[in-house]
Amino acid sequence: MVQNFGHGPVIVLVRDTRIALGRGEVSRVRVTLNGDSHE
Amino acid sequence: MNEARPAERAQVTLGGCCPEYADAPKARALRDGECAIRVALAGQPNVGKSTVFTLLTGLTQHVGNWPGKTVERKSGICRSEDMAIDLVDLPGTYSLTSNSLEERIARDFIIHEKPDVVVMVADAASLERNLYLLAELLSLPAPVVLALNMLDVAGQQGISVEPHVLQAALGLPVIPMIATKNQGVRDLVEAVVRIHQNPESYAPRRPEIRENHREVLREIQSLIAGRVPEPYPEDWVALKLLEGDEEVTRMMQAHLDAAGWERVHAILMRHEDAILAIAGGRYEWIQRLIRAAVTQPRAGQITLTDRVDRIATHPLWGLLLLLGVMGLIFGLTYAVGAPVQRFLDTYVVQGGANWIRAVLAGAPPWLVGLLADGVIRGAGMVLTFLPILVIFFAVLGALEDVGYMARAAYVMDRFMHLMGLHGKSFLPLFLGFGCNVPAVMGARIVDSPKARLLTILVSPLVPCTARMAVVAVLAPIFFGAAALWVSWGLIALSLLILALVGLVLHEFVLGGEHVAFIMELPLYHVPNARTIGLSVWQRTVSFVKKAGTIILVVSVIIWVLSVVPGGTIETSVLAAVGRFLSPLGALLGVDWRMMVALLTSFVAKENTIATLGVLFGAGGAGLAQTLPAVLTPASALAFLAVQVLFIPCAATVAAIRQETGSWKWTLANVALLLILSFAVGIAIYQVARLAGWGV
Repeated sequence: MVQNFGHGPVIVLVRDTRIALGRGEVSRVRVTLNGDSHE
Repeated sequence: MNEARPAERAQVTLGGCCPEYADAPKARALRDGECAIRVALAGQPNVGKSTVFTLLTGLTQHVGNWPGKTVERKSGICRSEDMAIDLVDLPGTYSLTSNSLEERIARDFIIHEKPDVVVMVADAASLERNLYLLAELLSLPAPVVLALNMLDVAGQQGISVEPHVLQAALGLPVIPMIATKNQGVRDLVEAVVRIHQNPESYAPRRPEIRENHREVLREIQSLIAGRVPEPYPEDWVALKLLEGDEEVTRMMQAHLDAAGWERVHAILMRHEDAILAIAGGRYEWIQRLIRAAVTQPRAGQITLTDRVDRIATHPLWGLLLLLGVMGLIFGLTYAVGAPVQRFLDTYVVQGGANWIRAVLAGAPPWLVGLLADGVIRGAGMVLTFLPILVIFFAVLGALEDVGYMARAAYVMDRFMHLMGLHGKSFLPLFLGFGCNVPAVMGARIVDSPKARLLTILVSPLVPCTARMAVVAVLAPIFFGAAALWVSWGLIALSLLILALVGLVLHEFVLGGEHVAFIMELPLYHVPNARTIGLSVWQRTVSFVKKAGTIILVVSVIIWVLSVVPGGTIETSVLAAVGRFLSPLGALLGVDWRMMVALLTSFVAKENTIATLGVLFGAGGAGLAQTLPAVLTPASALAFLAVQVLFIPCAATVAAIRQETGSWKWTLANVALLLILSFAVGIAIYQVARLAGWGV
């Protein structure tokens, strides 16, 4: 998570890419740690 | 491995020729005896693909649409001494699964058109993500050359990539490039020709599906063997079936007999998790490549993008920055462009019209009128707005190329969602301040069809330069020193109504569907003047073409209606229509001449001034004396409100029809704006009249 102000879209870093995600989309994302990669 | 060399030219001298293409050139406009290699340019969005394409093709670019689609298709030719590379720019896609129209277009082109070579442009600063597309491209038959672009941006981020290590690990040509500095282009062209002439040298190391699903893949391959329609590669189809690709699944269901499909379907059902094995296999392959060829920055290192984004994407500071940027754009556009526009209007359009009258002094009056008033003052006046548009598009293009416009979309997303729009909708809507036509066309970047339609429908409510030019001429006549506030008020009114219309259409017409916001924020980088210049050139040419076709035709028609019968506008069909509409005008406090001025604005918004000049027997400056005698401030304000919200010009209506592909939506949009503009204008005048303000 790069930026989250508690309202509005957030910015996440996924595999060296900054992605802006709407809050509705964020609530549907499940994050798991996967070995040595940073998923 | 070739190193990038500075200041190279895109037009390269190449030796040799490809005899198999001598008789069947694939490229357009080939010279006699010239051979062609068809090359597809693939890549994810924001990797500098357009810059590479521009460097290679220059002004030979042909811009159109993919057949039957509203997705832009660019092609062009990079010519050498005796060989031409027919380059097709595929839409930017993150993968080749049929999730979006762009992805389907890109993969269909590679499968059906069978390009000789695919050049994949990758962003060296986001190599991990970019290599996923490469993993997909490698499962298709065309040989791939990897253009490793934006090495300078990667360096700024503290990322170091070793292209020769990557090339050895991938088993395909990897060309280091900094396209914005014209570095690596010659090597790229040479690599394309080399791989085309020596296809046996192409031996890529492809990613594999994870071990636990390899047997399943082999099973699917054996079941579909010999049943896959041409030209689809069987291995690729098997992989896509396991990935759950809807289009490929439908295709194979149609091509297999019932029993065969039943067996394939049963395997797919048992292995719904196969997509993880495929994606996992690709990412393991990517990780091996990254470990071998990429040195990542130290943990905790703060990059330029991090520093700028702390402000640019902040909910408050980001919004203030955006307002400042918008103010700067408008300030620059009008401070530089408006005087040039006035100069062109006075000395080119009016001067040209006077010159025509002088030269054709003995000619029939209708011919003089047609040329001087119908052609030059109609379409010519529209062209005087080119300087304003060019400046606006150039500044906007620079901000887009730097990477800032994605942040603007991010900051505006909250507000755009209130009316069912997407953060990305902000970009085309902002373009609308220059001209509504590119705003409508620009809505293509919005992925959701409903949000795209909504963006198109509300675009005409963004006050364009032409509408504001009318306000800029008329407001000072009635409101003196307060004209600036009136102008800002009209802009605010227009945007408020845009928001309300968006909200109502979203909730009650388009079903209130949630619009997902997922958007990449590219790293900031130095803009490329050539790319921006070409983008401005294409937008300008498109505008001039419209002025030379639609606007010219409608200008002439309106001129004919304004002189037939009787030879004067007072006795014309247009005047008759204006008088017919005068009861409606009375509700606004304006007479039939103002209604005629509104009607002629359908050709181009700025025609309002020219028409008023003719009807009141005064030039632009003379209106300052004549108009106050027939209009009160209240009726002038009502008229300006109608003018700002009125139906869009002919060129915009044509663009709406083209982009929606529907006359129903186009006419509904025109009707809505017609009703809305008069409702607001009448409300303003009647409230002012009842309150006794400015009447």
